[in-house]
Amino acid sequence: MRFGEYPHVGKSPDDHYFVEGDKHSGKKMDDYLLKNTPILTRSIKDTIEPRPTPLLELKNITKNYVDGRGNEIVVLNNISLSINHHEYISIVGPSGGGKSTLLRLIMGLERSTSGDVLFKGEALKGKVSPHTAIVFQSFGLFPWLTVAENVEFGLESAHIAKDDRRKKTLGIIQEVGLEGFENAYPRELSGGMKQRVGIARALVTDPEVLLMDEPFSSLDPLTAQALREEILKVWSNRFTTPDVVIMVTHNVEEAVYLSDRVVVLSARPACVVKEIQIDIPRPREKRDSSIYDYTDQITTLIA
Amino acid sequence: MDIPKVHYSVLLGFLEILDDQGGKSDVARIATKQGLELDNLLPILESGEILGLIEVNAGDVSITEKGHLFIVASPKVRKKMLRDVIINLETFKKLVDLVKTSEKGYVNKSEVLDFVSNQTSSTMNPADDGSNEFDWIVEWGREALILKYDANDENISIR
Repeated sequence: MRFGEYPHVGKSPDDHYFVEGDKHSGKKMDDYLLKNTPILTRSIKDTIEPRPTPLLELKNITKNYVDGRGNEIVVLNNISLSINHHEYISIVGPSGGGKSTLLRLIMGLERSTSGDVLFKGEALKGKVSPHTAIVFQSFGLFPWLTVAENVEFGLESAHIAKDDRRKKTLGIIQEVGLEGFENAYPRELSGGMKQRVGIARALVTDPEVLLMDEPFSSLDPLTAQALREEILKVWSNRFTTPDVVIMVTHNVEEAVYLSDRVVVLSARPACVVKEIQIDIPRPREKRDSSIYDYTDQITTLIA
Repeated sequence: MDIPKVHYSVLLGFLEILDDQGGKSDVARIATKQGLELDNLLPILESGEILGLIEVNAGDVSITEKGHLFIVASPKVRKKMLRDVIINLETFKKLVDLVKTSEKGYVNKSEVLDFVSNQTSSTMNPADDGSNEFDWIVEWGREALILKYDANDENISIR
């Protein structure tokens, strides 16, 4: 590895100065390399490319509520997260710990008491993010609308001509395997098909960030497995959105199987206990023993 | 009746899990591992066999070559593969004929229920009015892009 080829090897601003300065050469550089080799070899991609702005950043997010008796309740306590392009992130933690609140903040459906949500470096400032869409555990479909109408509803606020909307809707319906069910009503659908509609309605807006709140937990285990694979296919396609998936789940094994990184939150008030990088190459096999190792490690952190 | 009687996503999930086990498993072992009762497992196995995606032999279930192709195929190709099989199942053949020979170009749910009870009179529970069978016909007819069904006027037509 030639030193000069990697202008941004360091992690902190001090490191940058140290590396980039011309006067640091010879033995000093060797010392530096020796000292920092673990950082240099950990992620080649990061070191070769100039580090881009993270796609999404949460900066010191705190959220307080006032309950019926006037007591202030801290739900989220100083949460900071940096999410890079093309990451699949899962958030796990005890129930009632504010995981869903965190998703609502990222979506812009709620405002934090303090701290900022930044999308490509720009603060959301309480607006609903146009780059983000959400999939709910309970599907969130309108029973009086057909599949196609439910999906097209995702485009309601977009300024798109009617014909284009239809075209886009039918394209997404095909992509998630709903073709043939366009004029079915939710009550006619199996749970798996209902959640496909939920996913299609989110995808139709071309979101760069797809948020999912316990998306598979109301499905039977086999259907859940089928839909996990479908989501992986959608996310793995780098030519289409979403670029990033952020999923809240209480199923640790599911989080490990799907994610690049698992963020463990504490009980209320939630703070980040640990972020665990899941270094298992894709495509992954559920029988892979390292999935159990990670699952065990993370479960211990929560329990 | 000779039609699949399990939801598409359930069957797909079963295939994925079987694939992950190396494409073959002891029926009892996969049932225990997935927490599947016999009542849930049998329709999966039967449907998978009808569609030619799995084979059950001497207590073992394995994915067929077609099943492997199905797993990796796009949604569009999957539907084509399903259509090729389902359109040739006796029930669907007769039903498609029924719709095609109808004057209006569609048949009402009540007519299909009659058709269903004629098909299954010997095997069906007398308490069953055939609406269960009807729902499976609609679900797989839609899935395989063979039939259209409008829940408002309850008419089935050819897609």
